[in-house]
Amino acid sequence: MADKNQKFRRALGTELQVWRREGLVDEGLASSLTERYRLDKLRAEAHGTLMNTIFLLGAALIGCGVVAFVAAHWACVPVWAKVAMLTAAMRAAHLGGYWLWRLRRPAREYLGHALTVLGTLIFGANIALFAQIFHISEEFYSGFMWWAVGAALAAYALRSVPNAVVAVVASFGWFCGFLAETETALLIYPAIAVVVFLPACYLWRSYWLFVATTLAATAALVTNGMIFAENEAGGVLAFILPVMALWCYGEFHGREGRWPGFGTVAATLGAAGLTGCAYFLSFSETAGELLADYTTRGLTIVQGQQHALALGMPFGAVIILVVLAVLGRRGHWRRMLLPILAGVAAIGTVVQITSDVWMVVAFNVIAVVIAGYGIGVGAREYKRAPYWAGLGLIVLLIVSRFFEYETNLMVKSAGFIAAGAILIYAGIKFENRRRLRQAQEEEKPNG
Amino acid sequence: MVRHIFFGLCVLAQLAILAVKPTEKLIIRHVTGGVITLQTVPVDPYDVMRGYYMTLRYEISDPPEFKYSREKSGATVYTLLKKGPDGVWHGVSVSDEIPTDLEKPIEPGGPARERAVIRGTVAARRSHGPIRYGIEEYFVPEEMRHEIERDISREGQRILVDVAVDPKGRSSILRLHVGDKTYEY
Repeated sequence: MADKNQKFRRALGTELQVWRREGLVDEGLASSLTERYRLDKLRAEAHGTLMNTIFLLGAALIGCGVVAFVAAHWACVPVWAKVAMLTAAMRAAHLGGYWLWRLRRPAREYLGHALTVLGTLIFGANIALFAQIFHISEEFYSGFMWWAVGAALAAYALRSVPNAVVAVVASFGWFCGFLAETETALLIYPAIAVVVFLPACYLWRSYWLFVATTLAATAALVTNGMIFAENEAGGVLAFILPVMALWCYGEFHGREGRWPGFGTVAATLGAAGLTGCAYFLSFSETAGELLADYTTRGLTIVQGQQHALALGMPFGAVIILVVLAVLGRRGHWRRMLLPILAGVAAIGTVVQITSDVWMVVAFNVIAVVIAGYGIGVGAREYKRAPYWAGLGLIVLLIVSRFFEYETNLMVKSAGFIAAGAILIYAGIKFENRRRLRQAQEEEKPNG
Repeated sequence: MVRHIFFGLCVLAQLAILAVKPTEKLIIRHVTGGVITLQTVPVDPYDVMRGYYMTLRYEISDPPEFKYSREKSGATVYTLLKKGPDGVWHGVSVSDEIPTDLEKPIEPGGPARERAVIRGTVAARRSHGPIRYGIEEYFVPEEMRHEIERDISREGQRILVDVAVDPKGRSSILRLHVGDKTYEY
């Protein structure tokens, strides 16, 4: 049976009646379609859905009432009863959800899945409530860690993306809590995030889990490096290396294959990070501050073993990706050249250049090169996103420079007119070429 | 079938995670621990409660002989305690090693003998108190908050905390005495 959603089946049922009246379909075809899409069951299913909704709403209201009643008498409830209630709620959500899920009927499967996620959320709440009941006074971030462990187990046991996303969020809460409480970095966290969650992204082909995992791991890498950096230059390095690694990973991955979204999202996030860094340092004020801090607080960029380790992780990842790409002769390896060159140029600028003018020039050039690359890829592959992102960045750079430097109003006026004209001309040209290409592609199958 | 077993193990693992710490606390309270009484003061007498929690600081949280440094953060230390003539226990010394010559309590859950040890961790920030013992927060139900705040803010009130400690120095908070009143939740 074709698995179509109810909306489509309802529309088909209505249309089928019209087609039958107008004689577009005969009785035989109509009954075949009715049987194929189970259109005769639509009324019963609608009644079932309505009853399910009423049942759920009623159950939710009764549940809220019970929760409010228990909360009002929480202090009088004996400890054993509190424990029994909290664990029963968690088990009921998990086991009920699992049972519904295993029925493999669309509506109940969703409900079952939602209930297992509720079970994981109750598990997290129970960690806090058990700490309260038994006066367990520990650092709050360890609660997040145990919540992440439980959620990850549920995710793998059920192959459940929402449970895995809860686990990523909870684990990142552990990382942030540790950072806030101890004012030191959890160096191992990015590796844990990658080892635990990245396989799940690929096994379940989940785009959103991949987004959550890469964001958590990259943010942790950046934060770890920045925490141990004792000067601004070390902090900039801590930012550049992880975003460069992420961009390389996206290019290594490619945009095609079994996981088409993964390469795009990693490359986009990495490119955005590296571009943002280059744009930020393309201002003479920020470049000057960086240089002043760098020269007054010492020329050492890597501060101690922990900083070296924090920077070494993304650097190692880039090396591994390059080796894998070259050995595997993957077609995407040439695309990794740009993030590597841009990253190395940015790092070299921070480490080597001792003149703020040259630093500004270097970062402007890096930003322009990245923008040019985006425009090139967009124009070659007829893709809007990289083309407009690159063009937008060029315009942003021009506008920023005109606002930054005191120039004659006439020069400013000419600059803005030129930027606007380039934007309109390039935009129209690209959109026309894209339309032409689409028309050609549409003609191909017919011709 | 494998999936059923895997899911069952996952739920059991979640229950085990929830059970570990409470079980440890219950064993300390009722089986292995002896009761000691510590002198405490709220961290901020004008802001006793943090939500539903009372934040406590002890005389032994900042022993004069202990030299705090951030490098030691996270390290385990053992504070040797001795019973004073007023029944309140005071810190004698702080060391990295647990004393081995301690007597067990007279009966499980009963009062400790003349000496006891409590295990602590060097805090990440000095402002929290250089040593934390895991007994720095006490949950108070909402309806009792104002009564406790009123009692504590009365001048001259002595605040004592009963704590169960086992021979390995692990501790569990039992009850709070404010003046002549006892609060146990």
